[in-house]
Amino acid sequence: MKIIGFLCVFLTLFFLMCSVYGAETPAYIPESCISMVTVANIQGDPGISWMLDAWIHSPRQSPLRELLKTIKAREMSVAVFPPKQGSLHSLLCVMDLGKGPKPDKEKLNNVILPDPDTQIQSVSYKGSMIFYVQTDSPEDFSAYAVLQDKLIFGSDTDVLKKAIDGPSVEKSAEYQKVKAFFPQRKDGLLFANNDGARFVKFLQPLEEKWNMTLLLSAEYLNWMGSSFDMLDSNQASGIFVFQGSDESKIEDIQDDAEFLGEAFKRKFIAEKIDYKSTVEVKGSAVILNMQIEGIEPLWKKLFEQGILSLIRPGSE
Amino acid sequence: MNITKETVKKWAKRTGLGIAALIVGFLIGFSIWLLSPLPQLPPWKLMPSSSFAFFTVNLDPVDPGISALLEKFQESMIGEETGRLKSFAIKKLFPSFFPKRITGLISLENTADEPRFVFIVSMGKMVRLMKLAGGPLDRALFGEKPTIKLRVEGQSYRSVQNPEGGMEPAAFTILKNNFLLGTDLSVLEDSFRMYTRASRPGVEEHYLSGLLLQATLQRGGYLCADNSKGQLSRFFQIIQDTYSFAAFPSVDAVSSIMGELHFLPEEVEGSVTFYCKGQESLAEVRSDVKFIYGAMRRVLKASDVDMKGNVRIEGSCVGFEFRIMNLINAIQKGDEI
Repeated sequence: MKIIGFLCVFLTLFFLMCSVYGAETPAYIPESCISMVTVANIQGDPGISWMLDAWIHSPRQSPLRELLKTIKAREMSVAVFPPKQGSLHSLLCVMDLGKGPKPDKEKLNNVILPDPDTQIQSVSYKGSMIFYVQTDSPEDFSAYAVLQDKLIFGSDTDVLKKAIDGPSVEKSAEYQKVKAFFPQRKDGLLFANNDGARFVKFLQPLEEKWNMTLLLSAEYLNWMGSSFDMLDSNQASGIFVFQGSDESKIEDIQDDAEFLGEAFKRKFIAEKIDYKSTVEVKGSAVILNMQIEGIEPLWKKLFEQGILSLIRPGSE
Repeated sequence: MNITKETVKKWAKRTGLGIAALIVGFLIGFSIWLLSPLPQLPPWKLMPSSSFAFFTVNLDPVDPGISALLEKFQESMIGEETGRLKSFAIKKLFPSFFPKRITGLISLENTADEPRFVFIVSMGKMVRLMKLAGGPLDRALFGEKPTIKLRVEGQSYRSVQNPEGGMEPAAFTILKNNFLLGTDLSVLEDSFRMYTRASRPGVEEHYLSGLLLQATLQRGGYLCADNSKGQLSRFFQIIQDTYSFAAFPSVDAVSSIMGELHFLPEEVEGSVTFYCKGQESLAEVRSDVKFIYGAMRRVLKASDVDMKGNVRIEGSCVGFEFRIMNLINAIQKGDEI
């Protein structure tokens, strides 16, 4: 009896850990990514499920939104990769479908079809089928693959092959540090890797577009991480961590964190949203804490604009 | 009739001499027209009604800082492949075309939902050449937008046919030594009426034009914004509504802003004072000024220009002092700031 009781408690704890620490989708995100956002517990969390529902049903409809109406993704990771010459940054989106309904093939194809006349092609790679379309400049995604209970979309077949090949971002020392920084996972985790100045390079096209240096201390950062929690449709809280490479540059990093907090404040004032933030320094890390209330209208506005355009410099 | 070779030669010689005389006569006439004394019209006489803010920058090369800036600018225009004639023109003629002063005036009518801007480029006699520039000047200012020439109350204007509003330049005119560029035709007409005294300035406009008069008598740059009638607050509210971003949320607590800028051979230094209506909102104003300083630093950094500053509270004012370094290097590299 004691053993069964122990097993029950152990299994209960294990499943609870899985739901909180789940994060299965980063296993398919290659280590070479610049930044990655993972959103967990999509169906169970009131804030996240509202967000997904609002995004799916916002007026600007797309085949991806049509697909998401029919599947129940438990977790999702979206990653940005360095661009190939002359093209936009590559994107990879991994969804964990769990035991939910299998995605409809036609709806999957529609996500990558630039127009109905385009021919879907397929290629077998390491035992997995990759479906793709030939296009010079995909709007968002031009290839997908279904690997057991994971659905993976990519800007092109190369990024999908990398997802299958690995190594995963989970093996990266920087990502492990971000995970260690946030032992209690919230709804979402953002990771921006500046190993080899890749995040600095990611910011460059944005800075050229806006004629503005976004982070003065970007070159002194090892990584940036954020854990955020959508309490409900209207309230959110988050922590941004700017991990510096050198304590002597901490003032510059703190200045950036304060500027970012103040910029958020001014954006939220204009949108009539309550916002509070504090900045603290811990060793060579600077931590920006934020609490936001009344954010629902801004989410809706963002979803109508197209959320991917925000994270993919150069796209409209 | 017998036309001999000698006669033809004579005619040719006479015609050639005649053409040469005409050219010389034209050049002398043109030079007299170009170089004859030009009455100077100070920018303070051109302040449109409902003006609440101005900035003015003296670009006279007598100022050693401006002289260094001009030299570097000339150097940046001369590359290894630049021909001798072009290099000579840039070195010798360019300073004559360089404006002596640039002034910006911002006005906002009580019922208007858009501010109006006038930029006054005060030049030397070379402003006369701009009257001859015609189409190329139109294209440089307005792109491919169709333009029309208008004459109102004896003054000629060139305006975009269907102005789109906003902060884009839409009309210009030349008044004595000044080239005036406005965001709409009405603001230029307003400036002209103020100059001819067809309109009488109000007490507050008198006060502001007096400050501009003082500023134009000095070297360097000056900035002044008056919020006594709430126009500065409304101006920031319009920006907030347009861009969904509150750049200066505590502006209501500010009664006026005064700033100055000094060009030194190696750097630019300046200060801006935000005079507040009371003590209670000083912290918020300081936070906003600090944010604006941060934004300026980041914008300048994108052009490899460094800025260092200090924001502090003094009595019922918030003071902001700054230094801008490497500005000349950025100009040499040809960066846009």
